[in-house]
Amino acid sequence: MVVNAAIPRTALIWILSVMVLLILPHLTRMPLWLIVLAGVCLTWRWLIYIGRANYPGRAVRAVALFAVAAATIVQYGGEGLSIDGTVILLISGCLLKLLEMRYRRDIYIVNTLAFLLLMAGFIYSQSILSGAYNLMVALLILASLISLNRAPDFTDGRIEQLRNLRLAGILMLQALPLMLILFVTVPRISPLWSVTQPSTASATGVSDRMSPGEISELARSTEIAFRVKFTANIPSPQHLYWRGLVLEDFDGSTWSRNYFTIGPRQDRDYQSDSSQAVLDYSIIMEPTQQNWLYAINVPDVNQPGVFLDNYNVLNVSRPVVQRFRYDVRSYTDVPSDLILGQRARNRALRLPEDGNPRARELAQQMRAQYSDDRQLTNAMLSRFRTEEYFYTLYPPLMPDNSIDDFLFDSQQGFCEHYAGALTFMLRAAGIPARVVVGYQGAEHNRFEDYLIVYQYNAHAWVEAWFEGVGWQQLDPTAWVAPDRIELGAEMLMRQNEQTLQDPAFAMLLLMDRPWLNALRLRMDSLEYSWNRWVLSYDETTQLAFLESLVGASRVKWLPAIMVAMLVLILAAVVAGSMFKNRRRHDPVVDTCLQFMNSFAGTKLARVPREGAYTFFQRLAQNNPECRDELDACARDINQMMYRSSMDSHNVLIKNELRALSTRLKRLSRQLARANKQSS
Amino acid sequence: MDTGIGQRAARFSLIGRLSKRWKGRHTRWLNKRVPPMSTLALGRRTIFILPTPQGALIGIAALAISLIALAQRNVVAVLLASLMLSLFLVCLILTYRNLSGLLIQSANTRRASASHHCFEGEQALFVLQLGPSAPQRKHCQLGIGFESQSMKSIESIQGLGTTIELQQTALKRGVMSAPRLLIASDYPLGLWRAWSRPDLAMHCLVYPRPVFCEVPDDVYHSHATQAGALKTAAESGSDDFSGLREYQPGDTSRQIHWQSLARGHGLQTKQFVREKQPEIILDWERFAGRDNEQILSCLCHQILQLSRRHRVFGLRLPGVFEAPGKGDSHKHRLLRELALFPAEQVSPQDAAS
Repeated sequence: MVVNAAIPRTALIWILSVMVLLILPHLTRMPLWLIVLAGVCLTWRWLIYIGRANYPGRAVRAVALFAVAAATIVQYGGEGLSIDGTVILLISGCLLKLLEMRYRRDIYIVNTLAFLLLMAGFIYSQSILSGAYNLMVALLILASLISLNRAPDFTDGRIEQLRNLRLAGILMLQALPLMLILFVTVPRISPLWSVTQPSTASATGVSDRMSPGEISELARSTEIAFRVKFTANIPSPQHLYWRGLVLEDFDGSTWSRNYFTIGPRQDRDYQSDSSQAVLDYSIIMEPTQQNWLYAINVPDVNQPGVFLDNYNVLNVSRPVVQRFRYDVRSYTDVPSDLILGQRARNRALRLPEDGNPRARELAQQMRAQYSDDRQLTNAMLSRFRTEEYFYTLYPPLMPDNSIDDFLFDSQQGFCEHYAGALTFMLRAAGIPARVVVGYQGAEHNRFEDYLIVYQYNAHAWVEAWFEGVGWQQLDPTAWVAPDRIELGAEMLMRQNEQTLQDPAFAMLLLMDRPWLNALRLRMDSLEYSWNRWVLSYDETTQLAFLESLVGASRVKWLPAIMVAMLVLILAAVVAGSMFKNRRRHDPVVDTCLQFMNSFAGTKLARVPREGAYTFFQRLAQNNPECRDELDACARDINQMMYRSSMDSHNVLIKNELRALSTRLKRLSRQLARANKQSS
Repeated sequence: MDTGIGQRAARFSLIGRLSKRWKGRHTRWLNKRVPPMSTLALGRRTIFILPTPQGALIGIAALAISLIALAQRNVVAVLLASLMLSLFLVCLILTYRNLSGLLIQSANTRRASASHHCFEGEQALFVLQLGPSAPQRKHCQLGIGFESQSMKSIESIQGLGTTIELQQTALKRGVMSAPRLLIASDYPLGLWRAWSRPDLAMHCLVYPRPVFCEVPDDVYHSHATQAGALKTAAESGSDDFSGLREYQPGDTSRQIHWQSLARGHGLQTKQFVREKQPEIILDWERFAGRDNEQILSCLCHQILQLSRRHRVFGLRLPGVFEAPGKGDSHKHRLLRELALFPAEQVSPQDAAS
């Protein structure tokens, strides 16, 4: 109860373990000096706890504070108030506070900082694992507060600790319903300030540039890119082309996105002939720090902040820095750009002035051979199958004239080599073409019936424009290695000795044991449900949920309805208690009390806890002239009070009561007059 | 410069007046809201609750976290903020519930004040009975006292309840009313503090402070001189033989005068007497020349002394006469008269001169 009281030892154990658990997830981001500081502070506090050391003096604390501040400014000061710098400052503040944590008040400060650190942990990771971990830490913080506020039992210390933990758990459960209500109904406000993101998070996934070797590097990662849930049937793997970016500019070695020609798409009302061709699905994307989304062509999204550009690419106004959910409808049979403008055509045909002469020559030869664009394209594609081409994750390096080297010398490459080479050849032959990057294929999780797309599903393919058809998707990889498309990237990795030696693919080996694979999928389905039900609960979902709850037309009245309900509940509680109080009142007693209280302030005032009988007697002693009337009233009151309560609604009794009240009022006036005269 | 000092003095007095006025208002409001009663079950009207400073700190942190979380669109952080806010509110309910329903009963009623007494300057004892309103209820971690600085802490109240003794220095003789009680608790997390200021109408009779003082010699003989003649009263005792009387059934064999029986006078019983000590009247007038409170203190001391010596004594105060007597209850009756003796009224003339 006293904030200056010393800290109970039981609370200290909790708070020290909370600190250790809080720092652990940040360990990889912490600079070395902070790790050293953490070690020193925690050890020192432990030594104080067991009585081997004393609290540091003022000088030591001041030096430590300045040193930490200086180190933080030197390391993070340049970036302004970045998230990383703030978190480092929080951690060091917490650690230094440990050393001067003497009184109960200090524990509360440390615990407040601990809650802020919990929040900081969520900025870096929002997975279900970190959620559960931080929930456990919150439980320990509660336990520390409980042991701070309970006198020890002087029984077995371990039992007491367990009891505190149990109480913390009970408290948490009690807080759960209100937490859910708050979480569901608290309005999601638009940001009040520009959001800074941790700098440690770097862009992941497919980038807006493609040079040879870039996608194959990505394809060695087993991280998850996004998860997809289809509302209807899941299409077969060869149709799962998750289109990301369209790369149009080629500088001789690198394909890149042309940012100057991007604009919002004008004609957006698609109509599909068959319902078979329409796919509805929702995607929960892992953070990429990039501005674009992935979807099957041709996508349509109705979500604020997401727009479709003239390349049929989904763009978001702010980078995807946290898990992001969006619902897509794809029209797979709708042609795009049946009419190609002259500028767009020129862009799709542009090639560097020189370089890769052999490829150009081959294209010209084939152009002479086939006059039809479609036939020419098919010839180019079947060349990949008829000639000795190999599909490999580890192609040899091709420094200059990369397309010539690949097409005629090494003949080994990954999807980006094939896509780049085909686009080059098509352009050289006068057919508008462009490179598309994204993901292909997915893993099916049977537990929640959704698809997981990994980074190793990264893929590049080609789109070529034909008269009367529009842009059409061409995948040279399907001609070189049909297994990659039909069985998935993972099967291909499996067949390759070199791939399996890569430590990142240890997971693939694990999947050979069915129960381990089932466990992995089960864990992922848990994570997916967490994403789906908790993480994607933003303003859109909130609105949809509330609409489903109260009806779309009433949603804007929801705050008013909630306030009204709160007021109603409060009024009901107050009225209920007033009613309860009133029922205990006896009308006779009330009348009597009213009479007795009318003397308040005079010398005849009622003494606390004086009964009616004694009061009337006292009045009679003071005013003998009213004795008879007073006695009569007292007698009547007694009679009426001890009558059976059955009669209290009787009309006669009510009249009697009214008569009594009149008599008493008259008496009161009379007595008041008499007293005034006497005084 | 001098004006500055004057201004400061004026400001201080203004603040002092304002705070005094506020205190007065607060007391009046409290008297109306929580009127005195000897038995009280704490409830909505009588319990007040506010966050403690550390609770406010955590509450503000929760609000800050929810703002940051909403701005960052970090849903898990929103979840954490909801959890913190919810815990904060649940603690409000739990802290309130911990006090509500607590039954408080005082043993020091006005009627029983004879058994609760002390001398001026001593600690007056107030006895309280605390119990849960329902047998299965449990109230934990309570602090109880008259001021927040000196609180007794109670681990838990359950079942039949507990008895608590509180002490308060008695500063003035007369009937002392205990100040308002302070019952507070910040169970379970110390984020909220619920408190109640019940007035249980507890009273304690405060006797004057006993002070040794010289007494006029004739005090011990006052009764005799007043009676006009020195009458040696006798009462039956065992000191001196005074005569014989007829045997009555019930007299012990040791009392029988066997010699008379031998002489043929029948059964005779010996009678003994002890010289009766003179009755003493402690008279206010004899102590004149001191101020009233000093006289009362002297009288108090004398009453204690005489009572210790088992003397028979009475008391005469202006307007009061207590017949001589002895014994514990007699002593307390006399002391009670001293305690309740009206305090000296400063008459307007005296004040003027």
